[in-house]
Amino acid sequence: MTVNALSLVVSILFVGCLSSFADASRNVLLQARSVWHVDDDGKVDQGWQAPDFDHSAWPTKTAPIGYGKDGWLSDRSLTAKNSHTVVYFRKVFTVDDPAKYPHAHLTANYDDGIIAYLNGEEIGRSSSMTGRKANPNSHEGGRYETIAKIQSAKLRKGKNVLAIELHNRNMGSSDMGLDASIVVAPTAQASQKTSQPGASQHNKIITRITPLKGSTPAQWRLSWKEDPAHKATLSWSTAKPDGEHLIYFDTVSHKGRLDAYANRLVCQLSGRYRLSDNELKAPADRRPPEAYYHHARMTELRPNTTYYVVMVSNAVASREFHFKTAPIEDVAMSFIHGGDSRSGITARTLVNDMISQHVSKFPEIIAFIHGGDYIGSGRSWGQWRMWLSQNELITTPEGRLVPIVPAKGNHDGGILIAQVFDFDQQKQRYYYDVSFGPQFALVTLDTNIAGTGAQESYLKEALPRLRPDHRWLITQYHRPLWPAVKGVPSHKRVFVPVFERHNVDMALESDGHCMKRTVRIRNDKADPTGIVYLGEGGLGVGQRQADTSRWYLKADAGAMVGSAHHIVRLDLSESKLRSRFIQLDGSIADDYSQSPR
Amino acid sequence: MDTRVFPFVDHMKLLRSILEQRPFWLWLLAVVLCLQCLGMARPLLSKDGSHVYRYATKQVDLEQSHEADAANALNALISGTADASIMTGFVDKDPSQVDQRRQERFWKIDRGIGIFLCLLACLVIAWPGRSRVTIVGLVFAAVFIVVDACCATLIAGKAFSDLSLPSMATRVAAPLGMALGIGFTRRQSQGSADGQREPRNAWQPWPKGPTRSLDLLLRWSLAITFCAHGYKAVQGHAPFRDLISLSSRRIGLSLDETTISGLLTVIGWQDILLAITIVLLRTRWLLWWLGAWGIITAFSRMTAMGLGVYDLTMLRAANGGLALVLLSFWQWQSLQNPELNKLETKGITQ
Repeated sequence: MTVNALSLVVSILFVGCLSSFADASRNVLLQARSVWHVDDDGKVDQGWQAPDFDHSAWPTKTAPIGYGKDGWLSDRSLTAKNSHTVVYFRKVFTVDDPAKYPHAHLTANYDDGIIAYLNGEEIGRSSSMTGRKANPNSHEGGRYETIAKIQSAKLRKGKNVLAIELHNRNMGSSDMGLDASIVVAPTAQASQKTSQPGASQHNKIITRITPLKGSTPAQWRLSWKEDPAHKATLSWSTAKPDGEHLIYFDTVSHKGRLDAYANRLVCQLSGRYRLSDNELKAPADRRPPEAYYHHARMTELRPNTTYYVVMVSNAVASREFHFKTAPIEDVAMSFIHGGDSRSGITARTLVNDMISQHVSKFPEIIAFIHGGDYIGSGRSWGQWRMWLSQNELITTPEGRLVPIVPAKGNHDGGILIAQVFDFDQQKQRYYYDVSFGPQFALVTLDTNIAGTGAQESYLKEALPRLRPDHRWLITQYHRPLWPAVKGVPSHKRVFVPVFERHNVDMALESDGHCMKRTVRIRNDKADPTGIVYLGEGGLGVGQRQADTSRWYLKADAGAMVGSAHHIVRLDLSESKLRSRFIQLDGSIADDYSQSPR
Repeated sequence: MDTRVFPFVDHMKLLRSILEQRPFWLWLLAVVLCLQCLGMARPLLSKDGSHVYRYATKQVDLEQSHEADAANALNALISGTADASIMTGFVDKDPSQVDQRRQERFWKIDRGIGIFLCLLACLVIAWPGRSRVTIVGLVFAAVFIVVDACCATLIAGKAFSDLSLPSMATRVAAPLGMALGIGFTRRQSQGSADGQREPRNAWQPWPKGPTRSLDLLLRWSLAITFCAHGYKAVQGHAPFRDLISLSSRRIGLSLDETTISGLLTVIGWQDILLAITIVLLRTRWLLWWLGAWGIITAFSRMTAMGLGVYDLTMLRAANGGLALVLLSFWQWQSLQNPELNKLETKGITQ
C-alpha cells in the first residue's frame, strides 16, 4: 500500500521525463492511454458493438477511465457509482495488413470485469467475467493483463472497431476503470524490419522453458556450497506437492530408464515456496500460483566424474541430465562469473543462453559463480518463479547442468533464496568456502550482514586455512569494496585488510551494473602485488556508467570499465589466472591475466 | 600591538552586523543546512547518483524492455497457458545495446541538482538577504529530499528501505525550517508601517503561529528520525553493528558480537525514548543530549570508515544539528518571552 502510494508520487513526478523517452508505438496496434468514446448513461444502445454503429454522440475520454481513488486512473469522470454497473467503450483503429499480425493480443487494465468485441464479435472476457452475464468477481486494476489472443482473420484491413463493456461488481463499489491495448508480436518478416537479431533468437530459446504444471519437475538447478568434488544439491520445483520426490543417478547414461540407474535418492527437503505478504493479500487471480521446492543432496560422489541424473516427482520423470563433479587434482579449470539478473527479462534470457552455449562449447567450465541480486524483490515468489524458469536456460542443449555457487545480493532478502538454493532456513548463513582441489578456492561472503563479528571471524579463519593449499584464492560477494558506481560500504574496512594479509588473488563483485576491472590494489594504492577487484554485474539488469574519475579505474593505469550485458569467464591454470568479459554478441571487452604469486 | 588579522576591520562590529541580520539559531541552522547540502551534493556530482536517478534510470530500463508486458507473457508461458510466440513481440531491440544517452540525460539532471545544492549551501550562508530566491530553493531542496527518500523505498534492496523517509525527517525539516525562519525574519524587516525599509533586526519577536510551527517542525522531525534510527538499532541493523565495531577499534576496544548487540539494543531504546520525550517535554538537557548524540552518530561514519566518507557525516548534520538549533531557538524565544523559562523549569511542553 505504502509502496503503491510512493509509486504514484514518483510516477507523477517522472511521467514527463518518461513519456518523452518512451517509444510505445512499436509492436502496438492500439496503444494504451488512447482516447475512447464512452457511453456512461447507464442505458445500452442497440447494436453498440457493431462496427458501423455511430458513436459520435458518445463523449470522448482518455484512458485509463473510471472513478474512485485508484492511482492508475487518469480520468475519474465516470458517473456509474450508485447509478449503474456497466459502461460501454468504443475505439476505432486501423490495420494496414491483417496478415502481418498473426500474434496480436488484447491486454487490459480493468476493474472489475470486461467483455471485449472486435468488429462486432466477442473475442474474450476477463477471468472475473467468465461464465457470468454481469456482476463480475472483484478485480483490482493496476496492471495490464492479457485478455485474449486475436487471430489475424478477425482483423480487417483498414478500419477496425474494438468495443468493450466494463462491468462493476456492484453499483456501490468504490472504484471502476478501464484501459486496453492491442499488443502485436510481429511475424518473422515484420520482425526483420523492426527487430534486432535477438528477437528470433530469443523466441527460439524461450521454448526450452518447462511449464511449471502439475508434478512435472521444472526450474531445476544444481548448487555447490561445500566440497564440490563429492557433494552437490539438485533442486527443482513442481506446481503440485503430491507424491514422492526423488532422483535417480549414475555415472553412466541410461537415457531415462529409471530401473537402470545405480543410485536412488529421496529428497531430503521439500516444501512450499513462501509467498510475500503482498502476494498473499492479492486477489486470487493476481497471486502467483503456489509451487513446491525439492532438494536432493547428493554426497559421496566421485571427483571429476560425470553423473547422469533424472528427477522424479509423483512418478513424473524429467529427461536425463548430467553434471560433472569438481576435480581434486591440480588441473586447469574455468568458471563463469556474473551478477545482477534482477531485471531485464529478455536480456536475462539471452545471457542465460550465452552461458549455456559457452558451457556447451567449453566443457572445462565447471561452475557458474553468481554474485547475487537474482531478482528485484527477494520476497516475491512471482519474481523468483520467473527467474527460476529462465535459469533452466543455462542448461546446455545436451542436458548438462551448470552448478551454481550462489552469493546473496541486497535485493535477495527474505527466506526464498534459502528455499531456492537449499541454504539452512533457520541460520540463513550465506558465507562459506568451496575448494576446487589445489588449483582454486572460492570464498563467498555476505555484504548484507555486518562485516564485523561472526563473518569477520570466519574470514580470518578461512583465508589462512585455504591460502597455503590453493594456487588461486578468490573471493566473491555482492557490494563492491572498490566500487565503480556507488559509494563504499563499511565492509571494506573489514574485508580488505584481511584479503591483503592473506594475498587473495582476485575479488569478484556485483551490484554496480557495469563492467569493471580495477588496477591491482594494496594499502589503498596501485601495487603490482595487490588484488584485482572485478565485476560489477550484467546478467540482465540495465547497465550504468562507471565513474572513471576514481583512481583505481583509470585506463592509463591498466584498469577497465564499460557498460554492457556480460559474463566473466575465469580460466585458472598453473601458470596464470585469466579473466575475460564476454558481451552478448560474443565480443571480448577485456582480457586480463596475472601470474601466481 | 594590534592582534587583529585584518587591522583595518573592526571585528566586533563586523560580527555584530552579521549576527544582527539573523538570530543565532538561524545562523546555526544555515551552517547545518550548508553541511547537509554539500553532503547531499557529493554523490550527485559523482556517478553514484541520487536514489531519484537510480529509480528513474531503472524505470527507463523497464520502459525500454517492455518489462511488465514481457513478464506477463513469460508468466503465461511458464504456466503453460501460452506458447513461446507470445514472447516474440517483446524483444524488439538488442538488449546488449544500452542506451547511454538516456542515462546521461538523467545523470545531467542529477548533476544539475547537485550543483543547485552547492549553490544553495552558499546562498544560505553568504547571502542572508536574498530571501525570496533562497526560500524557493529551500522548498525545492526539501521536496527533492522527500522524493529521494521515496525512491529509496521504491528501489528497496536495502534493509529497512521502508523507513527511508522517516529516517530522513531531519534532512527534510532543515530546509523547511530555514525557509520558515528566513520568511518571517524577512517579513518583519520589511513590514514597517510607512513603507520604509527598516534595518533588519534579528531580535524582533515573532508572532505566535510561525514560532509554534517552527518549534513543532523541529521537534517532530527529530522525534521521527530518532525513532526510525532507534527501531533499526533495536532490530540489530547490520551497518550499525559495523559502525560500532569499527569505531571502537579506533580507540583500541575490541567488542564482541554479544556486546555490540547489547549496545545496539540500549542505543535503540534510548533513541526511541529520546524521540518520545522530545515531543512531550520541553527540556534543554534533552536537546544537549540529542545534539551530542546526533553529532557522534554522524561522525561514526568517519571514525568507522575513514575520512573519505566525510559526505556521509555532512549529510547527517541535521540529526544533531537540529537539536542544537532548537535549543538556540528556545533560548531566543525565552529572551523574548521570559514566561517560557518558567514553563521549562516545570518540564511542561509549550
